[in-house]
Amino acid sequence: MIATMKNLVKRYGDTMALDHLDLNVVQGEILGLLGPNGAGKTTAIRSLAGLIPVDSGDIQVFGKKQHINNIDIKREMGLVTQEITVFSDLSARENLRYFGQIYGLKGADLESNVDRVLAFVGLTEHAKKRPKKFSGGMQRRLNIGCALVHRPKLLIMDEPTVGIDPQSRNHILESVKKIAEEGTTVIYTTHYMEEVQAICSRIAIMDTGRVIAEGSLEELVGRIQHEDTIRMIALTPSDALTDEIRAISGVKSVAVNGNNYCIVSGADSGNLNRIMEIAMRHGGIGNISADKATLEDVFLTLTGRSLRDGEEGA
Amino acid sequence: MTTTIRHYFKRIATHPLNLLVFILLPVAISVINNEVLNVVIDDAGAGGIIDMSVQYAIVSAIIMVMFAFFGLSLIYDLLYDDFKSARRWRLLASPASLGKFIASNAVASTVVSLVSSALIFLANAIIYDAYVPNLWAFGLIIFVFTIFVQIMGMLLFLLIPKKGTAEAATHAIVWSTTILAGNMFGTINLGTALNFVFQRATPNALATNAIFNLIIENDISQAMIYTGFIGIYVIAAAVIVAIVARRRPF
Repeated sequence: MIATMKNLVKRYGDTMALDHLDLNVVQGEILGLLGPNGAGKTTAIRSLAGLIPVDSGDIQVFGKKQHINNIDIKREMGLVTQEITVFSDLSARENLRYFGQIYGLKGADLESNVDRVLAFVGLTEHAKKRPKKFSGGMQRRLNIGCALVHRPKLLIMDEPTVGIDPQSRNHILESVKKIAEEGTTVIYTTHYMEEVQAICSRIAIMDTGRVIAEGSLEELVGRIQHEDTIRMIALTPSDALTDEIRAISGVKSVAVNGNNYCIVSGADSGNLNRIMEIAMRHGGIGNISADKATLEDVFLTLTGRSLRDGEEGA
Repeated sequence: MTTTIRHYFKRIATHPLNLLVFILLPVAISVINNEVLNVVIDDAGAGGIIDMSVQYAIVSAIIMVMFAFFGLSLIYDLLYDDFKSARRWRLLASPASLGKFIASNAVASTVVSLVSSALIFLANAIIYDAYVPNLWAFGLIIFVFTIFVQIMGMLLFLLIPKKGTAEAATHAIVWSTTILAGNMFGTINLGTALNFVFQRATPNALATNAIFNLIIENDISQAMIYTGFIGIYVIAAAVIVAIVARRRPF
């Protein structure tokens, strides 16, 4: 474990921001912290980063007890804020250089890391420009770059893709994968389930200050998904086709309406392929699809609410 | 520490508005005022009777104190940008402490404010031969007053949530104390008590009086007494800042 949070409690007045939160971060993983706005994600990562005190509980990072201003831990940690927090009055290079310097880099080491990060975030050609002349996506990339200059062991990214175009989002998601491949552990908070599905090796779903479920995408989906619903349009529907599908092991029901077949089968039974083979033998298929559960369904099942419900900050 | 001081110095000293407000504007205003003074003295036929180098120095000193007081905004400007925005999380996530950032900003804004004062005097010394009998004492008065202003700016930052409100408060404080002290449109009679407060007891009135004693009377002792009173303001403001910072951490 690179970090552990045990039984964390944090209150803001009457609001319980963290409600006995337990969360472990495994070295080398991309941990997706998923939850709606107000779930406590930001409070959790600020506590982990030693930025705010908790009312009770224990936080260990790199095997050391975390507290406010633990410089040893901060040196090895990077934080990408949700908002653009680079200096608009300094150039991209000056921004990276400053953040490198306050993390203790100097001389040739500093310059080589600045060059490395400029290349990594694709801003080498814009190094002398000020961020206010950048597009939103470029500003986001610089925002991420500033947290990478000192080569952190643990990178915390707080909703780093808020308000940007899909192309820039994809670029950032690819970058996060590369960061993890280079050995940095990443905690990635978001309320976009597509992002965690795309990049995270493990997912913790938060709601009302607690982790309500965690595991890999497959594990989480598997918890709620016991059946697949296969929808098919058969070109030549027949009783023989229906009977043959019904006879497949794991098929629970077959409903036929004209050319439309709705087949309920056990999850991950591999019956989609079998049904396709049979239908091809019986005249062919117009269309076929299998409805799979998503993280959205997981969240909905666990909380009764949608991930995007509410837009208040955490 | 030098990294963060250089960082804040660069951001303060290269900001176009700061260059305009704290360098170009005060130098220009003091030069224009001394030019007007020349015309007035010539029209009055007093040329050759009055020691003009002293008069030039007085005009420069009044402008200098006023703009040093506007230096309130120099210290809080970047503090609001850096620590009353999401950027504070990024800065505080670094190994550098909050105290290091604040101290660096304070050093940088103090230096810029002192450079502004020095340039006002230098311009008038070169152009008009403005003369001060004891430059060290003069420098000490400006230095102590600048320190007070910087601590006062910190207090505004701690007490006022929004930068716009702090800027409005700065204007209100500087203009009211300067005008009511009689340093802009001549003496205003507000009654004995208020006259004493605005003409003798406010920090900028103390600084102006200290400089007048130094330039006109060549009375260093009296000038240092006034400076001592500003020093009391410095200590009081520092204590208040320490108390407020503990009670209202930002």
